[in-house]
Formats: sequence, C-alpha cells, structure tokens
Amino acid sequence: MSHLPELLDRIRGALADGERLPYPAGEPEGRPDLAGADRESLAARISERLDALRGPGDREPAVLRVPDAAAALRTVREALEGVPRAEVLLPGDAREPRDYRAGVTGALALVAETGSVLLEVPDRDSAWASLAVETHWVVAGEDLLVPDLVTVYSGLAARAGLAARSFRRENPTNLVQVTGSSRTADVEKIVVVPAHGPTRLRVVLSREPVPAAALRTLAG
Amino acid sequence: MTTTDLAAAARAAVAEPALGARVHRATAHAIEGRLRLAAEDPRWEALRERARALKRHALANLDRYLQEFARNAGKAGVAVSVARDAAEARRIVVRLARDAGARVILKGKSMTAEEVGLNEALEAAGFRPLETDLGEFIVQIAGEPPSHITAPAIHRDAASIAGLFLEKGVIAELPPALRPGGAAGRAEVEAAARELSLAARRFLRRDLLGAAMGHTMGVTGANFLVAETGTVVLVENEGNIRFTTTTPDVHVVLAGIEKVIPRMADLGVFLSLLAPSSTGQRQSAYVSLLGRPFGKRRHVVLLDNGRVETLRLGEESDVLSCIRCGACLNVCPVYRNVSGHAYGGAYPGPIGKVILPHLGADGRARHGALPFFSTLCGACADACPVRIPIPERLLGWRARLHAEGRTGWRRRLGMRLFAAAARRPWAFRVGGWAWRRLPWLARLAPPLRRWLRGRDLPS
Repeated sequence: MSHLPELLDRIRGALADGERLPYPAGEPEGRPDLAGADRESLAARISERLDALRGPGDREPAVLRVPDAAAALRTVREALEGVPRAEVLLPGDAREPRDYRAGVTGALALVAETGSVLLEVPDRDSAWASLAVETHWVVAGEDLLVPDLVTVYSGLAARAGLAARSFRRENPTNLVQVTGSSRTADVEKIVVVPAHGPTRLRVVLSREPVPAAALRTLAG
Repeated sequence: MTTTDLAAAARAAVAEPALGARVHRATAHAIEGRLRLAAEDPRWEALRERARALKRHALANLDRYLQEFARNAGKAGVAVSVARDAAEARRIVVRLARDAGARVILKGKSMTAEEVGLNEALEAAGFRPLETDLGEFIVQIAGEPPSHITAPAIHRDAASIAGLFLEKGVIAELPPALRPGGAAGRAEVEAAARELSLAARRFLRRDLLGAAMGHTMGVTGANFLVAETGTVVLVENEGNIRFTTTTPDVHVVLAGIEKVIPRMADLGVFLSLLAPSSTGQRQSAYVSLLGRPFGKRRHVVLLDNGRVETLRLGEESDVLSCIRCGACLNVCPVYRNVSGHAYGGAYPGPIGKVILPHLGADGRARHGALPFFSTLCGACADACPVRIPIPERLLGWRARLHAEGRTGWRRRLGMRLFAAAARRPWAFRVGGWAWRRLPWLARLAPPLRRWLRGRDLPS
C-alpha cells in the first residue's frame, strides 16, 4: 500500500519548479444586499426561501415566528399533539434507526439567503431526528440568523462557544447544513419530495434565544 | 477510444431517437437556474474569482494541505491512506470491506468510484454494491455507466425507467400514464416520476435504515476535504449520503487528492457556487461536514491516479480545480447532442476531455482523442464556477498530443499542409480557393467525404 509520506514527496517533486502561490488576500464577500440587515429582514428572507422549498401540496408556512422560547415549545407541542412519544425524536433520544413521524432539533445557525439550517450532529443517535422523519422541526432563536453562507462559514470558524467546538481542530464534531426537504429530480428533472429524508422542514423561529436544554423539556 | 470510435459513438448517440431533445430539456432547466441565481448575486463573479484563486493556491501547496488534512482527520479518529492508482484504490476498498465483514456496500454517488471501477471490483470480490442515489440506482440496475456528473440518468425518460423498474422488481406494475395507451400529458408524467422515485425509496429503505447493520459498509466520494479541521464535506439532495455515512459501522471516503481546500472559511465560497452551478438551486438539501466517525471507523482513501503528474503542468494543472458541478456539460453543444456515454470515460463533457487523458497510466492512449472532440465555442469556460479556461486547456492537450506523436497521420498531414500554406500568401490563397470548393472536391475523395460528414463549412 502506498503511504502518505511517499505521496507528499512525489507532490513536492512535481511542484518543485512551480510557484508556491500565497493564500488569496482579502476576505470573501457576503451578500451586499443583506449586509447590515436587521433580524426582521433576515427572518423574512429565510421564511421566503423555505416556503419556496416546500414540497408539492404543502401549503403550511415553513417558518413559524413566535415571541420567545416558551411560545416556541408550545408551538411544537401543539403541532405534535396526538403523535405518540415513540414516534417523536427529541435531542438526547437514543433510538434505533427506523422511520419516525417527527424529529425536533435546535440549530447552530440559520442562513437567511439560502434558507439553510446548520445543525450539530455529534453522533449517530442524533442524526435520525433530521433524517429518518416525516417532519423535521427546528427550534431556534433569531439571534442565530446570519445573512449568507460565506458569513456563516467564516463567522462560525471564528466564533466562541458551541459553534467553535464544531470547528476546532481537536476532535471536531459533525455538522449538517439542511436546506428544505429531501428531494430528487432524477426522473426527467421532475422534483419529487421526499427522496430518502424528511418530507417537511419546519422552523419555529423565536424572537428571544432558545436555550439548547429547553428542547428536552418537550419530553415531559 | 480512437477518433473513429468516438465519432461512431457520437453518431450513434445523435441517431438515438429523442436523446438530444431529452438532454437539451434537462440541461436547459439547470442553465436557466444558474443564470438566474448568478444574476441575482452581485458577488457572483467575485466568488468565481476567489474560488479559482483558492483552488490554485491549494494545488500549488497540495503537499502542505494534504499533510494538514491527514493530521487533523487522524486527531478525529479517521484513518487516511493513499492509492497510487485505480487498482490500488480498488484493492484498499475491497480489503476494508472484508475487514468490516460487510456483505452489502451502500454507495453514495461518487465519480471517483466510477473512475476506478469500484463497483465491478466489489462485485468480483463477492460484495453487493448498492447505489443509493436515485440516478445512480437507475443506471446501476440498467448496467450502464452514469451519463452526467450530477444527473446520472439524464439520458433516460420516465417510460424507460419504469420499464427497467418493472423488469428488476422495483415496481410490480407500470404507473398508469406509462402503460400502453395511458395518458401521457405532463401532469401524468409528473405523477409517474413521483411514483417511480417513491418506489426507489421503498426499495432501498431496508438497507438505508440498517436492517443489515453490521453487515454493511458505506462508500462515498467527497466534495471537499478541509485541511484546517480534517473535515470531509459531502453535498447532496436526497439524504441517501447522510444514511450511507451514518448507518454503517464503517464509512470509506474515496477522494481525489485535489479535493482538499485550506480552511473552513473557504467552504462558504465553494458552497455558494456549487449548487447554483450544478442544478440551478440556491443550495442543495444537505451538506454533511464529517469530523468524528459516526460508526466504528471512517477511512479516507486519497487517490492519485495521474493527478500528481498533472501538477507538473503548472498553470495547466488548474483542470484539477474542478468541483464536479456539471455546469460545463449542461452548456456544451456537443454534450447536449450526444449525452455522456459517447465519451467513453467516467467524466463526460468538456471537463472530461481535459481530465481523462491525465488519469491512469493509459489515460493518453484511452482518451487522447477527446480533446479534439470539441467546437472550442467557449461556453464551458463561461459557465465554470472556478473559471477553468477549458478551451485553452483543450488546445494545450492538442499541442501536447501532437508533440508526443499521438495524433494520427491524417491530422498530422493536415496540420503540416495548413502550416505550409499559412507561411506562403499564394499557397494560402490557393488553399482558400480549394477550401471553398471542399464539398465538391469531397465527392472525389472518400476521406474528405467522411471528414465533412460531421462538419458544416463556414459560408
């Protein structure tokens, strides 16, 4: 089997006569039309984007705006009323992989321009809530809204706390950026929802921050 | 493939009823989306420029970034190995499958796996590779290679897919619209497409959810490898790659060495370009950023297969910057008429013509005719999100192949005659006179007649 040092030696040989170009100067640009946008504008943009990504026949709003964490939890409880607890995946649940009715997660960031939600998926158990469910519910505060992808990736790389843990060099965790429902267009470019993942993505967007631990109270 | 083989494959593809129309319709959708999103984003050209600069920097410092990637991936518990060529890549993945005790190999769509012929090797070793992306699943059960980088079954219509699904037991009966005499309006075809897609979901569900857990291994490619964090980045719409990387105990990533990017902050640039260029979407449904293994092990196999030698070409090595979006295929007048199979390699379209001859020990011999299979119209360069000047690279290949004596005697004679005429004004005038009468002369000379069969002379 070939080894990395041997590969690196061959690459050095191939590059020996070439110029070692420096890292490009400057910073990548964020969307100028969203630079300095207030939370209201960002919330409106992500709502518009996620509504556009709903599957055929789905008329419910993709983003539900609420005043605070308590209202956010109430909204999710009401939506899941009548759904057996065994059919709902909450943060911290360790369940076998199968199809569930609903999964609830928090978020690390919400990207207004693309309608994307960035999630931490530290282990296999936590993956199913955003993957093997009919509806994936995201509960997050407007404080997590960022304008665009360039901002989220350059910003998160530098931020402290949970986000930085996801990007640190030592033992980095797993992240997933989710944008709308799972879909395919492999038959004559006709968009079909769902493909292998959820049919619906719903974001409950709170004006106040939502503590990560609050989601566990949904279990009670 | 020789020039003659290539021309024959192209003629057969052009003669195939409705193929060109189908590919034009499918690619038009992606082109329209890309142009709309690019026009909406005031940074589009700046992003393309930065993406090109980042890729060129990464390639010019590839040793440093691969070392950094391997170090950081190792800290996250990910093993990294190197395959010098396709055969070694196949051996490594087969060995990993044996070590894992796997029977079923869940596959996420991977052009690199196509490049090395991984499915054939897995099957020969007694494993069952199962493509989980719908387009790849369709071509796998049809026994065909993919015909587009991001839309593998672009050459097939709903009726042919339904027939295939029926034959292979994916569906029990044809969707109503696709039965003989069924209504075949757009709405009915859309309903049939939905039925077929959901049938594939049901068919693959047991394996994706891990009913055979402990007996599966997942194999994917990688869209990007982030050196700074050792992260493997995978982009998809269906969720099948998320299952493939999550359910099995062992996940193997087969990635070309050129997939490495320096920093996590660079990812925002590439992701802002990839989905719009690929499918005309603002963003794909899922981007997985994988650090620690979900199961017991993750193993990254870094593939060379001719890439290191390509680095010797200096600026021309920028063909390795390709992010496999397929935008150049979508706009190419040749690809849109002949589809992907005519190219005879894993990477069809304009980018395939400049990459395939680099790959493997026999890349030049197998694919040396491809750089001549182009109109040099430049649409590919305009569409490329990382600004690879593909027409220039095609010309570079033509010059290189000519200098190496790999072009046929007719082409060499033709070039010699042209060079002689171009140096003498009187000969150029006579040549011009003869050129204008070429259709008439061709009646006398069969080789000229063949040459003219696929060409229209300027009036």
